[in-house]
Amino acid sequence: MKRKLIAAIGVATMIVGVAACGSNGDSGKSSASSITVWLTVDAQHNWPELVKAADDAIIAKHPGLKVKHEYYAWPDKNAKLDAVLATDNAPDVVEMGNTEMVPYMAEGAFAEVDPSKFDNSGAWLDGLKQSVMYDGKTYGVPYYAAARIATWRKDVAAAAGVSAAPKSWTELTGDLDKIQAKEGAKFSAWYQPSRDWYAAMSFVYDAGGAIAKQDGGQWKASLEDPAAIQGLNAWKAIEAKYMHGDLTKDESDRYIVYGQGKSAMMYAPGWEAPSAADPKFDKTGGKLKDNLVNFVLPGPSGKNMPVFLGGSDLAIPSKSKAQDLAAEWINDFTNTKGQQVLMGKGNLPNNNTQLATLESDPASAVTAEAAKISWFVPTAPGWGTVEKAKTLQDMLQAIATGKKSVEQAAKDADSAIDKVINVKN
Amino acid sequence: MSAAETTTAKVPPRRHSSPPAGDGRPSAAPRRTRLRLGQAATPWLLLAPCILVLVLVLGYPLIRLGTLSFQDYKKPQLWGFKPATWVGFDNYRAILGDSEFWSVVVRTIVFAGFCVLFTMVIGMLVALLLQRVSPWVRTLINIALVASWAMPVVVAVTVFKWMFDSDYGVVNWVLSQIPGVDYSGHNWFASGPEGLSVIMMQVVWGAIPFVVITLSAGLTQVPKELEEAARLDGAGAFGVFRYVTFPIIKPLVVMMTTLSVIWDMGVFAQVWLMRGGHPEPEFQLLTTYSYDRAFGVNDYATGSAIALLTVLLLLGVVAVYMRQMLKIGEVE
Amino acid sequence: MSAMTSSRAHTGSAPAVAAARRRRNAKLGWNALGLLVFALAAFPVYWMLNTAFKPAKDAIDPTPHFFPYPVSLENFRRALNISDFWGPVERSLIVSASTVVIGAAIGLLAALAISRFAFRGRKVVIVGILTVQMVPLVAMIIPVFLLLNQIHQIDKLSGLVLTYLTFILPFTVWTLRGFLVNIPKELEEAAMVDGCSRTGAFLRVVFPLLAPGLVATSIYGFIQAWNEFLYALLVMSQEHETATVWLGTFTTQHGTEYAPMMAGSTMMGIPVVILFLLVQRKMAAGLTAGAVKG
Repeated sequence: MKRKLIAAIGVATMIVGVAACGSNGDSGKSSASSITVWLTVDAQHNWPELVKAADDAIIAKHPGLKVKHEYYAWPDKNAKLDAVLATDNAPDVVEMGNTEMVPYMAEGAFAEVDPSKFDNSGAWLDGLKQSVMYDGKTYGVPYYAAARIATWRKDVAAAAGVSAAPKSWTELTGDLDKIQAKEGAKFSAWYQPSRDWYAAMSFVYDAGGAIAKQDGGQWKASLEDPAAIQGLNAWKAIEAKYMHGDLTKDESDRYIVYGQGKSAMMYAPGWEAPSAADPKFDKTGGKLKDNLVNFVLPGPSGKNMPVFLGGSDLAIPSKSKAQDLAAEWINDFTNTKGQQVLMGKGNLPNNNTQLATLESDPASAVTAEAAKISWFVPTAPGWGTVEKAKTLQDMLQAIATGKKSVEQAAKDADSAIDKVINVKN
Repeated sequence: MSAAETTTAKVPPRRHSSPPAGDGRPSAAPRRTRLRLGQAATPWLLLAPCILVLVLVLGYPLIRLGTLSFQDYKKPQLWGFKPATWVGFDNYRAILGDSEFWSVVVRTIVFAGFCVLFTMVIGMLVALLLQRVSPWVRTLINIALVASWAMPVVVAVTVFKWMFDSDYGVVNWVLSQIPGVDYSGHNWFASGPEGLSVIMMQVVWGAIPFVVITLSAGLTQVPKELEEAARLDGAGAFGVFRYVTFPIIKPLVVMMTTLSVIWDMGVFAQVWLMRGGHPEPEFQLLTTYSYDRAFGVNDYATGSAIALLTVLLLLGVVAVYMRQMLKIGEVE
Repeated sequence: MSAMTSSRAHTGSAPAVAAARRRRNAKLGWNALGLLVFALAAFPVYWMLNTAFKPAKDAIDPTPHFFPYPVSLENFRRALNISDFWGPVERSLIVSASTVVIGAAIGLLAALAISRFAFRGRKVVIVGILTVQMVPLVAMIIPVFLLLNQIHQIDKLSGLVLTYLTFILPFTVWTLRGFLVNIPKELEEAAMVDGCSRTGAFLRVVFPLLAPGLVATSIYGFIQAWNEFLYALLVMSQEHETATVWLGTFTTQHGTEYAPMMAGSTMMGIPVVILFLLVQRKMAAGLTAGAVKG
């Protein structure tokens, strides 16, 4: 029996040995010999060369440094970030939407940065600059801004007898009606995913409404207001008439769908059109490249459609063990040269100096013009929770699929937003 | 699936009627007395690694789940910036007072109920069918079943999502071939009940093989003479099944139903992936709802409370399972 | 006369022939139904393969192509291009293999304890181990995450292995117990009389008889570990993601690129299916062995 025991111990020892093989030794340590950079898939798909250039620049200064990258889709990124910040594997640089910064700064998740160490920090765009400030301190670096522009295919328009891009709402809907009639019911004259709340809310702001209003320091959702309802109705009409794709989708793969050639127009950040025309995604046999035309989207109100001035910032988690290197990488990534690359992809730069050059360049004039009328999300303490709960997306999907009336959906969304918008999470 | 195959090992009626000869009891009896003193520790040593793992990764978290649900635990606590504070029953009060939670509960029960029903009924029918077809057909079906059994859930979900795609899905095309039916562009996930039905189909498709294979094994234990005798006595096919076949395989059916309930109440990846990682409100089941509360909206305490309530909800089923286990324990 | 005989013969066997024909017809009917079941059960797998091997453009044709013609590997290339595939596969292999080996070893020890020893608390242990599989693992994800973080096992393959062990141990212990119980002690004792040590007797006599059970539990454990998604998603970073998460992110991020997605699914699913098919006979035998003789 003693032998049995010895045999048992032997097996147990073997198990321990195997366990050691099973573990992955190098994953835990995050010394200054490497930094980890989290960006969204936008960078991975659309400007990988800029990422590479920043890596090369910092490695030249610190030979042997390893720069690791992880890329996340917008909807998944923060859940992953929240989890990893609990561990000792925090990334060193993380991309944040400009609407997402506040709660993280308030909770102390990000380290303070010294703006003077970054190019053009004196001229940062106001909207982005505000988004990285909390209590008078700076916790991030503006990365880029994006305005949404309309893009359509002139070959498809011409086939329907339309020769010029529309200048007014009436012209736009008239043209889209023609295209829709010509191409048939399976075609989307305007591919507008229902869960793309940035576009839908533009209709709300165009009609004079707002997502929420501030009253005596308290925020209150205002989607039920007549102006907002009017905007939602205009948006719903667009979905019903011109959107014949999957009504339960968001905008994250819009350029891929657009590349399949079953739609004429989209309303998207400037980089999406060139990406759709990339041979990887263009399934029309190369037609997109020469036929895409950008224009400023006219709004039903008669003015240009107010655009969501979206943007990204880069922040350094306070748990990062290589904060200096992280700051250095950020500057290599967002310096004047980097911004030039981003502008070439249809984005707005992070500073006013370079923004001024945009308007004179015909390639980017449309984006610069579109950015003149814009809206921004409520700067309420609980706004981050509203975004994470996907209240607006669910409301829009319910309207587009006809599950709820506009009024009912707006009412439900308002009460859901009111519950959390003033609560600091 | 973890418990799945165990059923085969423990339920079959035979073992109750014929005490296992190999249990070692007769021959071990004299030895036992001899060994007890010196060797009492040996079995525990052998068991130690197994128990250690189970206690560490299951027992401790189970306790932690309970304590979490009585705390205020959000991002700052998770990140270690703030200590967790006790809030008593606040989380439970909030959850139980939330009508959304109750609609999730009802949806989960209905969903799991239908999953189990379809799985068991179809599984039983296919198992009976397998006894009646030619060997080559049986082989074909077996291969198909094993393939769908082995298919990783993530893969199966991806394939089903593709088959039910609104624009290019083959299901819409096939349905549209029926005269007078136009399903082109039909979106299966625009409505919760319809979308959950698709998910249910996928769950049932993946669960049937185990049921069929286990029941087939069980059916071979039904003495042919008994069935023949019943038939001679004038019983119809249904009568034979109802009065002869079913009573024999009943323990097996009870066990598998119990396990199916447990698994189908725990469906997560199917819903989560089918809805692209963000189930809409009308797709939320208790599992995804709990996950969403915890990792989506960062309220880890509420998420834990929901998870714990889910476990409590399963207690009824657990009781049935435990009774079966205890019966086996008695045989031991 | 001949007419009479033949007619009599005919009348004589008519019921038998009719019965035979009825049986044949019934069989035909059952077989037809069986083929329908086969078609339904196999369709998703067929459709996956069909989509994976056809040119990407055919996949988004509203009129489906039922055969991949011309056969194209373009989707596989694209799937492999989008992100690293072999890294995740390698990690999944490491995790699954470690889980299987450790699980079998630990499980075997525990099975030995409960089948070869009589001791106080044995029943409690048996019921306890069986009850463990009752706990829905999805519900445990929050505290397990916190636990793994506490013991510094986040983003480590060993952390996953540890978690997966709890998924497979109850099954492993119970199945192996079934096999051990069926191996008469007398065999061991005979070997010992012949001069084997106890360990020698175990290795030479018991172990070979146990092999089918070990195969069955190993494959079961392998598949469990290979297929697991949720814990792998939460615990591992993208840099160290496993194969299921690779496909899962592919699905959520490139939801529209179905053809490469099916290629990815094929690469992930087919090896498991083949493995399963290869050993299914043995496994079924292993599983039912416990059932019949338990």
